[in-house]
Amino acid sequence: MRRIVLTLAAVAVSATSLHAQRKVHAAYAVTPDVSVRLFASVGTVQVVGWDKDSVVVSGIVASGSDVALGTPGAGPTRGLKLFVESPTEQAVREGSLTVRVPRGARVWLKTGSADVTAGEVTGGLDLNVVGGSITVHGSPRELRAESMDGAVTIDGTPSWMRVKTATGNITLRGGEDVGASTISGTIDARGGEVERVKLESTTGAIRFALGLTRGASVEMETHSGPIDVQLSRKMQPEIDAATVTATIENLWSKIAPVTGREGRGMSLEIGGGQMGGRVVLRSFKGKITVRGL
Amino acid sequence: MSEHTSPDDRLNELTAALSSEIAPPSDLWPAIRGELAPRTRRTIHWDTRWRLAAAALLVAASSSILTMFAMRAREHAPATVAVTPRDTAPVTQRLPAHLAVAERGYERSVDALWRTLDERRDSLAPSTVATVERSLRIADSAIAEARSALEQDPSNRVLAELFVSNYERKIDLLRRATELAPRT
Repeated sequence: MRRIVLTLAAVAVSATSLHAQRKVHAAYAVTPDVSVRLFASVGTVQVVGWDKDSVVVSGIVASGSDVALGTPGAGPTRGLKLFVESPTEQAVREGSLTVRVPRGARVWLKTGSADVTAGEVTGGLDLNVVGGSITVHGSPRELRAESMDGAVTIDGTPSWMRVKTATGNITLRGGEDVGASTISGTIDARGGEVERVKLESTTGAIRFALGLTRGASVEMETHSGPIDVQLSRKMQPEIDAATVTATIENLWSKIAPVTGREGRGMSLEIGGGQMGGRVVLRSFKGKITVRGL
Repeated sequence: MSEHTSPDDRLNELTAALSSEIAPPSDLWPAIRGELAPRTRRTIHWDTRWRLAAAALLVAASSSILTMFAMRAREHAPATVAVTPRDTAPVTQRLPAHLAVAERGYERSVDALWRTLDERRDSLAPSTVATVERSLRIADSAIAEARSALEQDPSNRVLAELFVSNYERKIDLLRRATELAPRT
């Protein structure tokens, strides 16, 4: 009897929830390089690049949501502005959108606590969340990803990338021109190759284990987070590391770090081979470790 | 052999044939002397006076506008505004001059962004405000620590770089916070 009551209760809750939602579907003929601006206060947003010159928005939002998806025009459009705002926090969490865009599209997405996933876009992505996470698959030409709380994971090698968080952790795999900055999140860069990169944190740990292209430029900077750098022995970059109060551990070569003036802080300078690139490491009080990959 | 003469040789021949002196026109000097002659006291006096007057007007106008904005910001700020402790009240005398100047600029940006954030505070989710404030406290603490170390070791370039970077991260965070969408 108890099981029946529980089942009925579950069905009732589910029905209420379903009743409070409505489907969203809109399709537009667009140019291959269309610019899409989407503001969506929903729980999840998925952006998928495809080989069609059309944008299709589909999903579920809470009833009572303010939805402005525009009217499809007669011909292919070069720009779209889409807007979904849910009435309550609960409604936000229940909403879910999938946006299919031409691969070469430029997508600007702003949302609150949504978990955003983007993949197969080779154009540009500008993703901005507060509490949700951002995951990007593939390698867009330009990527800007900003989050306050949420984690940002870039599982690709964009040509140009800037990632910023306040407390969220950042994971990336390299690229041509990479910048990542956080206050207290961690930065984990591993698995790929990089040409120019600057990673900075205030208190978060920085871990770097990327291959370097010829003549690569690598900069890492922190106030108090530890910096752990692993470098491939194929390249012989010039290394210039300095701390204000922290120690430097050199497991990369036999050169010993030098203790700074007044016995505080350390510096380490290692000459590099031709075209081996340059690695600059700066820390106030976070320990720096340099070692082989 | 002339068909084998290079363009450079030909150019040398032509330039060698040119006169090495050119006499200036006889009526040129009076005009130059007129331009070189010292300006009259009256001219300089009025130029300076006009410049000073214009500068005074500019300063007065900018000051009034800034005051007006500050007063408006204060009027529109909610009663609960005095939110976050400002850990890094600068004492710029003890920093190297270029950093003191930079810090004053950063502080002006921070103040302006804080006013904007305070105005928007009620439209943001409390959890977001908490995250931003927590991160700003971390940034402030790092700035204060780097600043204090710089006072002890003002010629430390690494320290100066870190000090500036800490400010830039703080300002960037504030800027992003002011750009957040309502209810996020």
